[in-house]
Amino acid sequence: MCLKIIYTIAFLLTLNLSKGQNALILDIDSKHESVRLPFPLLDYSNAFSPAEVYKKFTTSKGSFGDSLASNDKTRKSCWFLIEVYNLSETALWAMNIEIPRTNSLIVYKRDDSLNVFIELEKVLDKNVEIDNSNDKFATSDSIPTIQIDPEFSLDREPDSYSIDVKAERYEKTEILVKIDYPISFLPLSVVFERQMEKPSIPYDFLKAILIGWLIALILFFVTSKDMTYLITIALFIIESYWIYINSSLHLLDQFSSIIIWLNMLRSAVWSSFIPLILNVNFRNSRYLKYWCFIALLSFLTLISPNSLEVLTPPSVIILFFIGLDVATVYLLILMIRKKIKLDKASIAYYYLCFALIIPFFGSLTLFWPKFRQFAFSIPDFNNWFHLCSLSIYLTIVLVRYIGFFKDQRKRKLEAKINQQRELSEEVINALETERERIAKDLHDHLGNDLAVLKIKLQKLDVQRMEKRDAIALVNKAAVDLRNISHNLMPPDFHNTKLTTVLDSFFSSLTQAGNINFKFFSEGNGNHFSKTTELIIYRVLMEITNNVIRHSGATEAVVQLLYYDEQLEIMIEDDGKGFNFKNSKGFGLKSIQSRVKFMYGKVNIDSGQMGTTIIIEIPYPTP
Amino acid sequence: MSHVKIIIADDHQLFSDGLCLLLRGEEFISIVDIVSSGKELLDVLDKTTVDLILLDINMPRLDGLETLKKIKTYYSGINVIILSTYFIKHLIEKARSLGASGYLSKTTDKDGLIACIRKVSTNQTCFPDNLDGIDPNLFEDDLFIRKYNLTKRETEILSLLKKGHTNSSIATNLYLSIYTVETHRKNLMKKLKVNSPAALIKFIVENDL
Repeated sequence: MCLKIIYTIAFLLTLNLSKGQNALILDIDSKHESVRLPFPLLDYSNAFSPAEVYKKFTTSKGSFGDSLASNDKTRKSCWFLIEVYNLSETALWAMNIEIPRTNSLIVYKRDDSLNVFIELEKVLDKNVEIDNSNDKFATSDSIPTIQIDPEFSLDREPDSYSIDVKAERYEKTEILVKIDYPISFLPLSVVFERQMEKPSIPYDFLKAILIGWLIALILFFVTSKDMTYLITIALFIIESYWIYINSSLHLLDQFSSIIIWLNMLRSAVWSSFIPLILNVNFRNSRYLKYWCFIALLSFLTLISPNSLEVLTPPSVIILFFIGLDVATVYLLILMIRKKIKLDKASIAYYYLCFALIIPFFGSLTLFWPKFRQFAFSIPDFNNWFHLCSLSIYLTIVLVRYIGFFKDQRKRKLEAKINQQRELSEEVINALETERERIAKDLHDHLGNDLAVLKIKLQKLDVQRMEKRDAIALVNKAAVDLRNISHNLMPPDFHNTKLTTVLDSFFSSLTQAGNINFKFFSEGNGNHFSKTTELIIYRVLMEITNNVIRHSGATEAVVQLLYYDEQLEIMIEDDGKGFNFKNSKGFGLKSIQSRVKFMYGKVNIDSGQMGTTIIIEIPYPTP
Repeated sequence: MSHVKIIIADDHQLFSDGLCLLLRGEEFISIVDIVSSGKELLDVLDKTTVDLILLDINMPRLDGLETLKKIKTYYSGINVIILSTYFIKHLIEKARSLGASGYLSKTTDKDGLIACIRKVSTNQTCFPDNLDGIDPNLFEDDLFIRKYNLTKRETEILSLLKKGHTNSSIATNLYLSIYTVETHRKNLMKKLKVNSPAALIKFIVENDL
């Protein structure tokens, strides 16, 4: 117990330590983005459309100082063409343009397919006084700027405009900026801003559903008071938070996505293992110690990713992660191979299934560029993905949970049925034993006494007639006794084949009564225990009893056919038939319950020309 | 007729005594011993030579059938008549298969018993006849039907099948349910050792039933 708590604390520590990074801003210098530094095109007439300007740009490759013809030199404006190739992992980004205060700023985005320019942003008639104070923009070191021409910049306070530009991943965008003030350079920077994410209805709707579902699941586990799963959920949420932070971290460049996926795997596996560790008694497992040791090592690497950036190359971190994952998988294999317990193994199986979901998608992003493109075109994908996987995970747990309860109920019911079966089997056995004893006693004592009586009578010296009567009476008594005791229990039943016993039985029935019984058997088998055979025998006795007493038949055929999987019994008579639906007194109920007891079924076909009863009894599975 | 030496094996003292009295009158019979268990019988057989044993089935310490088996193994020359209160076909068959020479009910009268002893002592067998209880005349003469162990109903169905009737028309003809007819067909297939309904029809045609 104590050890379990320590493990849990260790896990919590790991998770808590892995928090606390800042969002990183990728700027213009980063190799992910390329911005062709724009040279302005001066426009003195202020009368050109963007398309014309664009044409001018593309034909003359507009170099510094180029200008468009104009008469009015006082209303100068300049144009910039910016080409942006989005290599980053976010579709949305913002362009910060820092320019001296102007009267007007218009930003156009070129639509490739239509060759039309769409206005993105427009700032008009900004009547701001020009003051000659020092330049503020130079002090800002968080936004690298391009050195501005002193002629225009030094005497003016720069104004910053943030323009949202949406460029899909790998999309090339061309942006035209028109400024009402002649400057030679356009200082600009590119900022990725998560906050800019615009609400998109389907995603938000789905997210809402997911969150609602999550809350429902959590409530379910809270009300079911299953601490194991509650702890799992808590850990998972903490992990999610950490990954959320991590996913905004573009620290590790090309490794970052791998790291994120590995983290996800790790978090999934770890949090999945918590219930196992709490449930399974692993106290003496040395493998668990090894595993914890590796886990400790790996969480040391997670203390501060920022410091790790300095201290270790990313590959080392990956190695740690891989080591951890390998160790986890190894442990899982060991657990399954050692066959902890069937129930635990099935739990492990579910966790394994779940843990496999994440590396599956992870590897998809690694090896399938289109999926990667898709995955990262969804803003906030990692976080979103995490929400999904948590939902999937909890749903699996829920399904398992319900399945477990169902199983339990089924098992209880089965146990009850088995108990009842055992009880009725005992009753049957007791009854049969008693019958056997009575039959034996009748034969041994009364039978022998009758035999002796007959001998004595034969020796007796009395009137011949009287003697003959007495002897006849003794004979009748002997026959009666035999019939009674044979009905109770056929002699030597336990050492004789059922078909043989039945053959004898029907022979004697034919001899004794008015109905001609014919007995057929096809195939043979030792499929049933003697107890079951006795039940079959009793059923047949009951049926023949009905035939004799109620059918009015003259002939009856009884067949026993041993099929590959079942015994088929067919009893036909040529009697007047009966309506078995309202014939309670015919012992049908007892026949049916006995056949049911042997997992068999009865079919009764009764018509004016006789009755056919078909009984099928499956062989017991060994 | 030579002298017949007999041992009576029965645990029922009164019966043994009665039997003894009954047989004493016969000149050709001499009762050598009376024993009350199978074990005792085997012990006596060790020392004494006998011609015939009247053996009961129900005995303590080695029952009649077990004793019979042993006698037939070690003293195959001795004839055994089973004398039992049980009188049922399968036990009689069993006794016969184990090597008994005769089987009698304990309530057989004196004449029957003596006739049986006479018969057996001349190495003949003496078993009750017509145990089947079936009049042999009731059996159809058709060898085919006997060979394949068919019932009367099954031959009816065979003939209807031959005429091309379907299951449902057979059912109406014979006042049976379709399920019953299907079962009969299935049984016929098993008995005639064919695997499909088509093969069944083929069999009927080929054998000209």
